[in-house]
Amino acid sequence: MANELKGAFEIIFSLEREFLSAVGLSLKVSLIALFLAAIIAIPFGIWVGTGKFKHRELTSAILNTAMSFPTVVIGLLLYSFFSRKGPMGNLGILFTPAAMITGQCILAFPIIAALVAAGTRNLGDRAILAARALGAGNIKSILLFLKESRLIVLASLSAAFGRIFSEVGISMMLGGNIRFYTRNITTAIALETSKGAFSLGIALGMVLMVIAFTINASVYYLQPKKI
Amino acid sequence: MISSITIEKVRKGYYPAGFTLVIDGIEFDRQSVHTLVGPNGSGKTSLLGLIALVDKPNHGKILFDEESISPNDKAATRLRRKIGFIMQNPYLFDMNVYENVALGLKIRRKRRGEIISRVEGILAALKIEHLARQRVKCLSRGEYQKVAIAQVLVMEPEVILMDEPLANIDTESALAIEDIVKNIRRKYSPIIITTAHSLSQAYRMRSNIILLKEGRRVHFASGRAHTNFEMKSQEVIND
Amino acid sequence: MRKQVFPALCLVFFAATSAFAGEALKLATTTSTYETGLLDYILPPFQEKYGVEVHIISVGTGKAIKLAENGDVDLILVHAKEAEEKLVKDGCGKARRGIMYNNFVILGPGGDPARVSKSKDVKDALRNIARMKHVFVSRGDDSGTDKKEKSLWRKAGLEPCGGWYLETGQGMSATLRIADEKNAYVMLDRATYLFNKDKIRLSPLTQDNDRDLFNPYGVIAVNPEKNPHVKYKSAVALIEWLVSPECQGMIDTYRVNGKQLFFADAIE
Repeated sequence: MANELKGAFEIIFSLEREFLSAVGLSLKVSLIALFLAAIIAIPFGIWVGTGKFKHRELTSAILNTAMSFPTVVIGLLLYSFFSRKGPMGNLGILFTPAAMITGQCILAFPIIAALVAAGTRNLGDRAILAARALGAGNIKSILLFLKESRLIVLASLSAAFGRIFSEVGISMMLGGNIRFYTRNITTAIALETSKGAFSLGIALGMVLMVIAFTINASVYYLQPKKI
Repeated sequence: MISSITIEKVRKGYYPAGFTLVIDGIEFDRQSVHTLVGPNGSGKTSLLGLIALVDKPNHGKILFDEESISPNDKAATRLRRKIGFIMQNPYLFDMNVYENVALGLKIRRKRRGEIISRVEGILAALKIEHLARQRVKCLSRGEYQKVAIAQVLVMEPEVILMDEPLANIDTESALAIEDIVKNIRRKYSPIIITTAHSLSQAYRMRSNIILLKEGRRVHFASGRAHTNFEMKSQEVIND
Repeated sequence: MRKQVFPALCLVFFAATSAFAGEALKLATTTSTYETGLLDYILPPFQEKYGVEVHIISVGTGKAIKLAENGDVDLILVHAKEAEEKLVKDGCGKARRGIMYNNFVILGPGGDPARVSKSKDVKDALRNIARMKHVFVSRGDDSGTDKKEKSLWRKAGLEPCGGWYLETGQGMSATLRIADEKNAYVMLDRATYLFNKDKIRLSPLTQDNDRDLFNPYGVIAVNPEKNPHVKYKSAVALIEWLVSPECQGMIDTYRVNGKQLFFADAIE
């Protein structure tokens, strides 16, 4: 174990290509997936949280359930879609980062939407009403409301990022764990462990933990302490 | 300057609460303060919401100087800027006290110097100038309420709607607020509509009293005829 | 305005994702050729020469053949001769070439409680393990090794089942590791064994010359008539490289810990 730890630090400090490409790919895929999911999920979450429509409760119940969607099921479904024999086979994106991004996007969507919906549920009506009462127009009201909900949005984004950054099922099934191409932190750890070569796995695991921890800690410090 | 608001054959159903507001022929003018009195669920807040143009009646009209305005009209946006609405559970934005009070003036694109002097003036009148740089999340309930009142009154709106403005406020501050309202009336006499559980405040302000019950107006008394009215209204409230 | 938002978002999405959709050649392969490092040794000269990047998807042979049938990869490098020939016969595969071989070995714990090393052949060895009900770890993932192992049990007239027969459903290295942790018997290709030799305690117990343990590797391109999108030309170029004297020589000289893992046999 001591040897492997030493090896892990050597890998981190020498910035080995195997190590860097996995970290880089993880960041790239997860950030793009988060961004794409957020564009739709944030407005959708606000709509579910504050909108008045018939099936609002049902929608938010579905979103909450979808938050715990298993990654392997998403992987399996998308695999059958993206396979050449599947309905979206002609895109040819199976075993590419694009497929991983799509999968992580789907994984992130309900997390962002459900948390934004839950957070804005009480806030929404009141903040927009208050803004309107002060004479703000539609756009100004929405801007004020968004500014009010920034912490909620931030918290939901970091929760989603934590989940997609550390997931392995989707990346493995849709990416195929191709070296320097679709091998990210988690699939590399899985492979290294199966090969019994722990140093690279430990090095990557440390990076994974540091990034996840930093994100959670920063969100915690951004939250107002007294309500 | 808006000189009167008239409620004409208004009907509005509230589904979760399961009651319907049916009001016809009430006119609010600038001559005196108007107080809506009634037990919980009598429709006071709902009526204020309709007048504030944040809610829309199913039937009927709200007339501002004879002009019927509905919340979705273009004219409503313009008109809303002339209406100040202090809600029952007011919402303040996650900024400091000064910024909250200045918000309405900023939306109206007032000059910086004017904003500063008006905000400082109202904070001093409410004796909360020491809170100016505090975040609103750290205020007590009474302080919070006062900031919400300052936020609306600083805009000197032509129509002032106050939903239970003195809930959560100690007597001394309540009197201070009543003084401010009197000053405002002397200065430019806006239309003022407020709600209350009890009648004592309405008497002090010599206000018109509109008694509501289960979404309907059951009695009206002008500010000059309070004494005859007292017994009758007390009956209804205790009912 | 609202009507244009959704298509616009879709466009952004596909623009963002298609930037990653690769033009590289996709090769699905059995874990033994990849995890032993052979492909990382013999492919770079090809990539340099032709300017074609090769993306390796390391799965079991069964999965690789499925990927070829669906046209999800351009070619496969596997070791299950019957399944390979069936793929070609069904018209999904084309231009099959054998490129190398090694053999399977059965590893077991020190002391050899099932007396595998004393058995006269591999069928006898399996019967001994079954009689002793000693723990045996199997891939159980329909890979080439798994197919081979199951066929050997059949040849021995047995159908292994019960608490002593464990199926991991994982790759060769992972399965070997599990067998090592459990002090069990396990069958695997010699290359993976030699590659992992220093990390395990199990030792090889079978004879190298047993015909039943012969393990030939073949490469097949996916038939473009069934899957027109495949990069057939590049795939054929890669196959030609693999059977070229230069590459065959590299396969023969590839050593891990001083041992030869694969034996080239494309050139008679």
